Amino acid sequence: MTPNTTQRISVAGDRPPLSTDQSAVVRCSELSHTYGTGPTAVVAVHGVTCTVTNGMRLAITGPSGSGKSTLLHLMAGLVEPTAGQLDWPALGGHPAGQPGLVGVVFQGPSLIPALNVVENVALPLILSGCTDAEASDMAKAALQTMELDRLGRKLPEELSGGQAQRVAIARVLALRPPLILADEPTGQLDRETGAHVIDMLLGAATALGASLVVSTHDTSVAQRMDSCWQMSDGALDTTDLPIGNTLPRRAQ
Amino acid sequence: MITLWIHGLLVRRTGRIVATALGVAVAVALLASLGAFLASSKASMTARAASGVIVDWQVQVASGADPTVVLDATTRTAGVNAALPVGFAQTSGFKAVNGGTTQTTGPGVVLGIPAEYQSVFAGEIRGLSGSSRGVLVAQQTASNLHVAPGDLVSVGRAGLPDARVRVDGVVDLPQADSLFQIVGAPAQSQPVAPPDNVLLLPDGQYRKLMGPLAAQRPDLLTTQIHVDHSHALPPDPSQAYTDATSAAHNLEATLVGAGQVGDNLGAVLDGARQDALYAQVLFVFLGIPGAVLAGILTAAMANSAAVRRRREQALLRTRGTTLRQVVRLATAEALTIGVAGGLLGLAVAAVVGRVMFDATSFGATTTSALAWTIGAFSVGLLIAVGTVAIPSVRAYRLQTVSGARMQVRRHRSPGWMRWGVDFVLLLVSAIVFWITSRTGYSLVLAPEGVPNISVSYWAFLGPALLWIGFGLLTWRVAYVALGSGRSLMTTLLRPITGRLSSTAAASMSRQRSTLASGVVLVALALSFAASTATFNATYRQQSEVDALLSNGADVTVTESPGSVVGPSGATAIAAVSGVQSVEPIQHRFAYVGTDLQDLYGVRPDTIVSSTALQDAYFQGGTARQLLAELSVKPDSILVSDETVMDFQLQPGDLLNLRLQDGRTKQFTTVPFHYAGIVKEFPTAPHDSFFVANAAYVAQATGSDAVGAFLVNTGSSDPATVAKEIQATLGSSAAVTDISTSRVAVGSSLTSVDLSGLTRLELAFALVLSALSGGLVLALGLVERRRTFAIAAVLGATRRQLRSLVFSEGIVVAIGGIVAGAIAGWLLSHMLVAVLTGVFDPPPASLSIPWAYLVSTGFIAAAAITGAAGLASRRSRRPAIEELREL
Amino acid sequence: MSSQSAAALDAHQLYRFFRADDEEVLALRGVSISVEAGEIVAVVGPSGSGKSTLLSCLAGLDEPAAGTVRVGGRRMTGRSESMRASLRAEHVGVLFQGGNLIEHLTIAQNVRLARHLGNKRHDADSTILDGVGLLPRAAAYPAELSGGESARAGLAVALSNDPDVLLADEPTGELDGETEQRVLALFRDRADRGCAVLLVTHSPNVTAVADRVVALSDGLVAP
Repeated sequence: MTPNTTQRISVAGDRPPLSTDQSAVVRCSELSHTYGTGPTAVVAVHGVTCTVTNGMRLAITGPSGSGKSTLLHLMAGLVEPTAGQLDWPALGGHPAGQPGLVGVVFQGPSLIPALNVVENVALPLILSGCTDAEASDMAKAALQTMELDRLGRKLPEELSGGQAQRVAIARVLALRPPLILADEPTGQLDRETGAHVIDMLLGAATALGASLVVSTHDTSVAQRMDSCWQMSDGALDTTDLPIGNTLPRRAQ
Repeated sequence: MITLWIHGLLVRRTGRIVATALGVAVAVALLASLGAFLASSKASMTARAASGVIVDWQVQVASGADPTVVLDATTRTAGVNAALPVGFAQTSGFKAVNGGTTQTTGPGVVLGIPAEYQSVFAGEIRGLSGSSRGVLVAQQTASNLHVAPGDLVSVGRAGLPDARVRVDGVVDLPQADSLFQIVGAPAQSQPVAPPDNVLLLPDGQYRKLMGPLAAQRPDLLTTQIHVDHSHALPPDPSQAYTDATSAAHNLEATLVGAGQVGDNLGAVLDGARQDALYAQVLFVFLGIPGAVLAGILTAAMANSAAVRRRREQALLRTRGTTLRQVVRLATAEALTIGVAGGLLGLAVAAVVGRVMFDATSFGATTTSALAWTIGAFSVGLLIAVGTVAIPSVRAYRLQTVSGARMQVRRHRSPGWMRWGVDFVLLLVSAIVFWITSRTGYSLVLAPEGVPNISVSYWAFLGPALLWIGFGLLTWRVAYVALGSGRSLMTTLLRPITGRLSSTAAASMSRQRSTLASGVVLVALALSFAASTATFNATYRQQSEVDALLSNGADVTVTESPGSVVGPSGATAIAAVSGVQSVEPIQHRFAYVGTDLQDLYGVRPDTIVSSTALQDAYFQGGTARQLLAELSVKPDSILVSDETVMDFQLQPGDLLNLRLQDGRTKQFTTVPFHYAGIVKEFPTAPHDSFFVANAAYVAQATGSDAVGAFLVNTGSSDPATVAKEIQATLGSSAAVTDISTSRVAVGSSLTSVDLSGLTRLELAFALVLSALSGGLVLALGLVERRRTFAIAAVLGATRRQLRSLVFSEGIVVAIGGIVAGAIAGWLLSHMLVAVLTGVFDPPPASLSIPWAYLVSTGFIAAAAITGAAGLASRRSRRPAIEELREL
Repeated sequence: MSSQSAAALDAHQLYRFFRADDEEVLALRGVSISVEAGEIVAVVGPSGSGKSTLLSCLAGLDEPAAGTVRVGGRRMTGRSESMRASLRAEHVGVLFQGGNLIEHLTIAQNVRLARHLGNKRHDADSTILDGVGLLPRAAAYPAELSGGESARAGLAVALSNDPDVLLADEPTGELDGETEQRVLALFRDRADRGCAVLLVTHSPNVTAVADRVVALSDGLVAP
């Protein structure tokens, strides 16, 4: 499916048109990030070199503490690396300060408690310069895509874990970003809801022509992506593993 | 287990524990400081009251009893420093011949004074002119007889020829009321005015001249033993009163009917203890809202832990903790906070008491000190239990009762709002106020005697309900404004939050309970500060007025009786540097019927500008109106309300007075027309008196002699100017200034020093205002951090985040200040009206301490701004890490 | 096969309904379930099937409208709140998906507290922590633990009172494969020592270690 380039959103600030060739969306080179300093320093990511290309469907797997979340945050531009190179050629620069380039779905609850669902989804749009009316309309459209429109006026505390996570995804989609990063999006959900969520993510990524990177430890989720990289102890192995071999299975 | 729990709380929840303990400490400190203040003020009341009594006891020897026996018994009584016999003789009248005319007075009294009397009872007899020893004539009598030292006076004796004496001096008897009291009169009887005609003789001369009366008319002679009693009294007025009166009763018991004790000391202490009670009520009334406010603040602080509490209790329940164990844990937490906060509060109060009032304990006696300490400490514990223990236990029990999986908190307005409790309270407050204002709650003064105080406790309900009701109403308005008025809020917030204004308004509407509580907290604190400060300022204003009333003006020059100084005497005074204006006032005596009253002749056109005349002094018109009447109709006269009642006067009625003609020295009839009532006047006594036009009086009596000059010193120091004037005039006149008058003002209520207490309360009010302002924004901190972290990762700039917090701050600040100002205004008016008995004289208008009010509002706003700044301060870590933790 | 006639955990015909949003929802409609000592039973079902409600009733945290629950032969239903609390403290271990630890106590202190409530001796504290591999982190506060450590710590506390019955709601929801296996091994170990274990879950890894799987659907046990 080709990206629907006629649907331009009126957002403040320039957004350079996305080239349709296989250019890099995110490029990492010897990327490292260490938390803290001195003896208590924790090396979360070290020596990561990789490229996320346009239209990629990527899963990053690995045990907890392996640095998947940190890598994702680095890719989102939310954290500055302590060493190495990181750039976003296809997005035209650092995503910080340009809302609407990267959409992140976080691991834990990430809705603002004092705003209802529509207001939460509309917030990033307002931050990028849409008027209240525009933002609200686009938010409602995104919620409809995720089949959440009847939850519009509810507050986050009234939602179940699965519903909250889907609203978070709707929030990302409303902004129509070219890069979607999802950090353990199905961690809190049961199998069925989780599968549904992945459906939505994939569908939306396709509709937007966006690249999708998902970090997960769930094999079933990893299986649905095109590529799968493994992360362990801060190091990334970018060799595509054959599907089905991503996790050691417990001997029966 | 409990130690484990408490230790964990202290280590991990230090901030919250300390904050709650501080709230408790503030409440305890305020209450204990009140105790310290009351201790010192009560003690001074006792001392001050006692110091005003010169003759402590007047033991009336019963007819037929032996005075020596009574004197002996009295002298031997413990606590009696000195006892002197004084003779009282009734005389048919005095006569004096002067310049060919004979002056005669009505019946009078002759006193026989022992030689050492004036040294033992210093101040009882005040020399005005001539010698202060020998034959002394009272001022009014001398004026009536027109005698001066050296003249002869005939003393009428029933059944005997007149006795003739030569006047040695003219004196004033400042304590005439008690000197001539009827000892042993029934309690309900009206006090009687002291006799107008009094002569004092040395006891030897007295016995020689009046003693012979005993043969024919022993009923005309009485003896009193005047007693100087030790003033070593317990500091607490109640205790002092009990001690003094029981000593007097003991003496009476010893005398077994031979004598009756006129207990002046007891009477004065009775007044003091009633004053003390009133003062206590007054202070507590002003101070309790402060403690309540501190309690509310503590509750708010503790309430911010509500979510954690719920989770904890759920977890404890899961682990199998019984209700009893939960209660133990909750109580332990509450007691730790309560004890720590209480001890801190007591320490602060002790320091405050020492520094501000020089008080070394929390109460006047050991029992009251203990009571205050325990009381304040208990209140602290109560607050701790109420804000910490009870919510925990409730959280536990809520789990068992509902058992629901997920409690969806619907945003329904609280019950009281639906029932309109705020309107009900305000209505009841208005009704109570109206009722009490009709029946009166002011100081009731008997015409000539000991003040009688009745306190209406009902009246206090009015302001209390007003405070609470208004607080609730403010909550309602804030709640509705933030909820239903969301679109309006969006528009109003746009200048601050820009494109995030709809988000900000939405966020605020979901938190409207918390924000409304914040507005109310700030409003209550500010209104408390405003009403206390206004009350204090008005009190000061009235004290000033009162001092002005007693002294007359900044400096008053009183001419000696008998001296004739005309208005021209003003020139010499005006020449003294620092003198702005000089106003002469005539002081005459006038007979209305058989009653002799003071009469003051004034210049109606100029007197208004030289001394502050309050409308409250007059009845039947404002000060200006009535004085204008005196000016336009020179024969108008202002009289006391008693005189109006006695003579059934209607405006314009003719009133004939007999004044002494300056030329003939005889009393002539002068016609006046009744124009209005005067209740208070500078230099005038608390008795009935007249105020008339000086020019008319001068013309009618042929004498323009001035009684006193009222001197206005403007900005110059009255005391210095007074000294200079005294130096200029010599001994021909007595010069007094207002600063000495301020100290010696008669009513002990107005002399109660409120300044220390109100300084304390104003400081607390300031602290509470600041705390309530800052606290509001500190509440919900965790939620705000999460909101910030999420907004930041979504792309909000630091400036935008700051604007969100500041918008909340501004809503709370503006809402709180406006509501606080309105409530403060209403409360001040109501307080002054309810406590009108404290003011002497009652205020015509409130004195508003703008400086304090503005600075308090400023500080509250600053605290809010500071808290907002703190809440939005830059976090060292990227927002994403914050988010993970939360 | 246990020779006891009475099952360690026995629930019979449980009914429970809620009122939510002016609607009455029947969460349990006659659910019966029993677990023997040494057994691991997994309860599965879609969200809204009543799994959590069932767990609450079994733990004595919730009182069913009808039906009985017995723990080791002792009746849990129809008793006073304090009796249920005591029963729970001494014989039942409950593990939720999150929030199993008191935040102002260290993990060791949390274990201590649970043992104290269950009237157990204090000397076994370290053994329990060691059993989940958290002995070196004994003095850490819950906020300082990672996701996996948190889950293991929760389990340690749930096991602190040497329970006869262990109830767990989604015990491995957030865990990655390796940690999940460790935790499941602990459950197995505990069951082998005589505990009756009931797990509510939707993870196939968990059902794989269970001896028996009970499916709950719409408040009823699926046949």
